Amino acid sequence: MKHPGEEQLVLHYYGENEDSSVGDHLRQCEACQEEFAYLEQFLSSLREWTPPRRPEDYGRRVWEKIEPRLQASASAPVEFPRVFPWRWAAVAAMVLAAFFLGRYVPQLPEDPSATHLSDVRERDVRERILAVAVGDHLERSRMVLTDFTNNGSVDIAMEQQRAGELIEANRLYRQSASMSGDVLISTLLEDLERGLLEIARAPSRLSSREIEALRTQIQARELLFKLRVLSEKLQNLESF
Amino acid sequence: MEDTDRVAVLEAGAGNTDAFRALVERHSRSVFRLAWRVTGNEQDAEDIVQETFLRAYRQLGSFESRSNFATWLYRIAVNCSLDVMRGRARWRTVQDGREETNGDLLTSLPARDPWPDRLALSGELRSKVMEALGDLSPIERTAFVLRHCEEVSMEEIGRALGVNINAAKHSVFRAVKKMRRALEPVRK
Repeated sequence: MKHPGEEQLVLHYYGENEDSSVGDHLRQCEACQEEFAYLEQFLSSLREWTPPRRPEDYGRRVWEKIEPRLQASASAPVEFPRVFPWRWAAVAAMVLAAFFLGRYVPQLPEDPSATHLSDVRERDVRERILAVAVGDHLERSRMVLTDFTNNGSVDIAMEQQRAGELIEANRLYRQSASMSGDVLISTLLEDLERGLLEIARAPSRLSSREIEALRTQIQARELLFKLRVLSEKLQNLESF
Repeated sequence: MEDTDRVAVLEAGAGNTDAFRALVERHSRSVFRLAWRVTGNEQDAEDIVQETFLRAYRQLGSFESRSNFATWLYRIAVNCSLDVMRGRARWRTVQDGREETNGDLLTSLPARDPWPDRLALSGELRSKVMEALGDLSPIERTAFVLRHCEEVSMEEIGRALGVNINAAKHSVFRAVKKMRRALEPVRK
């Protein structure tokens, strides 16, 4: 008699065997019954795999954390207006101008002894403003990439428009990060720009295979993960 | 519960945020459980819970009303979890000085993350199983968690992982096999 292999026994345990021969065999073969019993015992013990406890109101807490971000998602048509595609580039240009103006134009201190402390504070404020601006840009980009990778349809016109609107701002931030010598941010923004360009320049209606290939390329760069990590770092900078 | 979910999804899609809140409160724990079992990391699991519901909210329009909302949500949670695992594998590759490949790190590299000790087993057996869980690839671990803990069908596992049903079965089998091998020395 032919004994079922380990894979067949595992599938039998999970009720995934399509034919009844494994069950029939187990009823007749003591050796396989013993083997199956051990498998059952092992897998049953793994059912006691308890996650960390969550509080009773866990669902409510999750809701409180995401609700403000839902509002931002819900107002996306306003955030990404079709009429003003230059808006994000204009914001980037203004923020960067303020950042560099403060950095490079010498200030006349009223009290020379307070110069150093005042300079440090001003620099901190400028850097925090820039961190907020770049952080917002990364978050908007992350939303576009997330929507693109999760879009179940082959029509990506909406994601393309949003990607296109972010490219110019991204270019400005990337160039300024590069000038400041911030390799981490400029490298990520370069990667992000490639991803946004790929989405923006693709035809609006692609075949399923073409969409999947494009999604795979974007996912292969781990852009979403990198954006998340850098956003968190920038948030920490903002909070100081 | 399915019908209640279906109604809530329709209302949420029409702009009723209270309806979406009900879905969040109803399904948060199960999403956390799945995310934690796949990633083995409590903080990552918390982030994944939030990200899952945010993505679900944005994609409400693509949810087919005849589908099961919990399963659809699981699929999103699995994608979020795999994003995290893929990122970890990628950083590990760079840190270890390995050459980056175009292969899928989710199938080729063991997860090798410290696994919280929450199995109701004793002593040496538990430590061996812990080690084996850490040796599973993210795909194997995810397939195993979905089948063994969440009792999701193989067909649905395949859809969640983007593989066919036979590949899903093989992933579950490989996971079980690896963990059993870890027990052989203890059994003897």
